[in-house]
Amino acid sequence: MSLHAPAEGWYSKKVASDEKWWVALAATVCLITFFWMVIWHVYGKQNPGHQTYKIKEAEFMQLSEAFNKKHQIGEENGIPVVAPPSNGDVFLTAQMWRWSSIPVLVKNEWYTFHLSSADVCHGFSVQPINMNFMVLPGYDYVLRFKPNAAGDYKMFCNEFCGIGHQTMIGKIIVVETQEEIQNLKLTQPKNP
Amino acid sequence: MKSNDSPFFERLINNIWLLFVLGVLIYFISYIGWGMYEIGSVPDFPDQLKQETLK
Repeated sequence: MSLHAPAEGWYSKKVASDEKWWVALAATVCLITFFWMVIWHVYGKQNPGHQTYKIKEAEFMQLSEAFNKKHQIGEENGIPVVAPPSNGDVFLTAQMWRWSSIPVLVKNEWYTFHLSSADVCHGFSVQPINMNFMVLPGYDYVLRFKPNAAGDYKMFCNEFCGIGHQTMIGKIIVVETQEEIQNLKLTQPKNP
Repeated sequence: MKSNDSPFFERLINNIWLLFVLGVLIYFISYIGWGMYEIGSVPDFPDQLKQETLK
């Protein structure tokens, strides 16, 4: 960019045809990408819901603990394994440096995840499908979710959250049918 | 110095300080202002869902 204005009268000069073509090309790319965003939002599968609520950290932890207590079916390394009902709500709290539960979901059933943090900003990264969302204290991020393949999925924190950040790895288990949940080999909770 | 005979848009676009101010202001309003509005308009967690979960 020049700090000096071009020679007087430049505004009235004819624009060269190659410049017009480049401007038209750039404008076309802009319009295509703009409308593609709108089309993807309408026709794309499993777009984020854009629903967020304000909630105090302590209140969300209370909800998360109540949810765990209601749906716990076992535990793994001290983390409750929970089986929420289909089309139900799943409360998941991120906290330095753990996830509050291991949800067991059924393939092709819808769930409503409520994500929040008890302390600092965390990231909710589900791998290997590569879903990434931010988890903020004071806000409940609502995510409608329908797993479409059975297996174990890792939940990583992908926002640096302190000295133990790299150890903050959780799990989501997706099973083929509701009956399979009964057959999971789980440690029973010590204090159910 | 530009003469007053030049077209209005030429004089407007030749003013680099005006372009600088517009460049900052437009993005401030569209990004920061919009973001602040979005944060301010986040609703509270629904009471009904809270009661159902704690039940």
